[in-house]
Amino acid sequence: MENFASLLAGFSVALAPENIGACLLGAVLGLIVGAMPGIGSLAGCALLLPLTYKFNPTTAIIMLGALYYSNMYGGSFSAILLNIPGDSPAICTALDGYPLAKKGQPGKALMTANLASFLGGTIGILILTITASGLAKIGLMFGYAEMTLILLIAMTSISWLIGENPIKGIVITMLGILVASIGMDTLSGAPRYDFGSMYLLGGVPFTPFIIGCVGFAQVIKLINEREADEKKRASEDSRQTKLSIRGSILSFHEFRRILPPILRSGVSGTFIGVLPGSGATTGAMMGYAIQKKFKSEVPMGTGAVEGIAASEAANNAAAAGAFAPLLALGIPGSGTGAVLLGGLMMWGLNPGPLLFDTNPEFCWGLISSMYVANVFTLLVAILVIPFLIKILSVPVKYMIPIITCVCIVGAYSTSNSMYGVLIMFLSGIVGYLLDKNGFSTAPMLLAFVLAPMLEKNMRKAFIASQGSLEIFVDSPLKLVLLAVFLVLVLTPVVKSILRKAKAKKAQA
Amino acid sequence: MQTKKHFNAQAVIPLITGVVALVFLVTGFVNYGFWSDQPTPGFFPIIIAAILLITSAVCLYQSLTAKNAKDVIYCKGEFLVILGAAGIILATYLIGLVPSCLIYIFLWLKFVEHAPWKVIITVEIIIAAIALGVFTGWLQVRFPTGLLGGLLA
Repeated sequence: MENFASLLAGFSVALAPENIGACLLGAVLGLIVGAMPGIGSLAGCALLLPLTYKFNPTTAIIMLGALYYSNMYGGSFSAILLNIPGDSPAICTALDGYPLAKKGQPGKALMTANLASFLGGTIGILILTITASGLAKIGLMFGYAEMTLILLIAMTSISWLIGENPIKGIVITMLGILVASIGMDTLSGAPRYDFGSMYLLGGVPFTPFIIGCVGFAQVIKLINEREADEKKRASEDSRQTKLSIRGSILSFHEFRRILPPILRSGVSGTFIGVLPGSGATTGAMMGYAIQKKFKSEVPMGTGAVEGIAASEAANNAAAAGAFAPLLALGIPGSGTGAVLLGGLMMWGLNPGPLLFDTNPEFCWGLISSMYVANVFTLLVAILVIPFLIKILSVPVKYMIPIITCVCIVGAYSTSNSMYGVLIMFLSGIVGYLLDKNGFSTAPMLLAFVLAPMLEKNMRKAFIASQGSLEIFVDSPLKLVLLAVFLVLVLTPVVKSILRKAKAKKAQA
Repeated sequence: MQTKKHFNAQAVIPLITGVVALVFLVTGFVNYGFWSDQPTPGFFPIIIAAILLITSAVCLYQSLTAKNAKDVIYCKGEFLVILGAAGIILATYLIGLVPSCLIYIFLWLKFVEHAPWKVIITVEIIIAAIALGVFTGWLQVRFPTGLLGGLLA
């Protein structure tokens, strides 16, 4: 009950004119960016981060939250109409969305995706409303040692889940931490690893680094996708497709078909979103996999609305669920979460157990704005249906110079110096080279954002214990956390050894 | 744009991260220390650098001994994007950031993509609107005007 009273108070923040405007702007931009194939929510949030500098922290993060959230909606558009998922969480949507569009019902597929996104997201936000402050209260019981272990779990889980080589995951995570340690020491404020450069004294600026690593690196990769994009567009008959809101309305029977998968995926997606390292993509895949175990009127993969609903409800619910550990514990569940966390820190907010106590108006304002954003995004997503073909007809090849310029202009605007542009440029090249060689950059971003927190907690734990490692094992909770961490660390290593042994045996 | 260069950098990345780790390790020990009654500023980065050094070595070994490892293929177009961005940065010091971006877009669309004039003009207007309308007008960002701007002023 207390939570819902706080939520109502939060609505007074969310419904302030500037916050409604920011929310609407975030929803529109998120939809457009999400619909553009190849950009994705991570790059989208990074590219649009500079736009939020004009606002106060609450308005800024409301806009960013709406943007992240509406990205999930947008990703389904190109998945359904072009069979090109706008973002990875929409991969499963394409499996049924595109066949349904090919059957001459693109409007129905889009409406199913929109409704499922809305309802799944609402379930996610409801669970977030109920659990977030409780999670923060649990977080308040954590000391430096517990927080160190939780941060280690958060970092390792994402590194381990992304990519097939766990060693590469560790390398990239450690690199992110080292980049973050350039500048000032987190505890004493003493200069560190500045290598005599006055620029490095201030550390590696967050926004240009993120814009480079994900935005500019993405543009470099996009050049290879343009030929495939051209071929796909040439073979598409989507240009002839006529879309209207009227033709997209679902019948009562169709709505009854999609409701059970939405409810199932909404709940499962939220809990998956809460887990560090899983995120919306895992949520969507899990939702789709669960739906496969149930009956659907049309076989899954051939244009079943149940499949679209399961995938879309799960990814939006996961996107909402990811806010719980982000706000309550300061732990982002994904690369996009890391960008949001970095944004929060940039505006002087310290996400974590104390945030609900020190900035309740912000926390509840943000949560209630998610309800508002969800409604706005649904409305915009429905209204935009007739114009989708035009929006999606922008070829990838024309996006390349536009995004390059946005990266440069955005990087300059956040640092007001060419140093920011240089950092963006260099981190873009590094991000591209790493990605090309099988090192995913998402764990590096997560590590970059979490490193100062990890260092602070770890050093304070060692100061408190006067250097004894016992502080990490002296309570049952710490032992459980340590066990989880060790399992996360050792599982991929053991798996890799077993795989090699199996291969050797097969060869013999 | 079709020519592709084969260059396997699988081993280069762990080699570079290993060198980075070594630099952080040595600099940390020499300049910031590890422990003096309590953890010093070098404590955390030294631990991380040590882990990075070990994992880089393992990664290097993996990439050198890997059988059937796929070659990493770099396309000419990818370098063209990097070159384009580098061109904007360099030109900014001469003619300013916004004109550099507009010239880059014209050159890219005209000579790389062979785009029609209608597209070029539309994209130029979009970028001018973003740079001047959103960033300069709304966010009050003052973009560098370069040597040319200085001369004109």
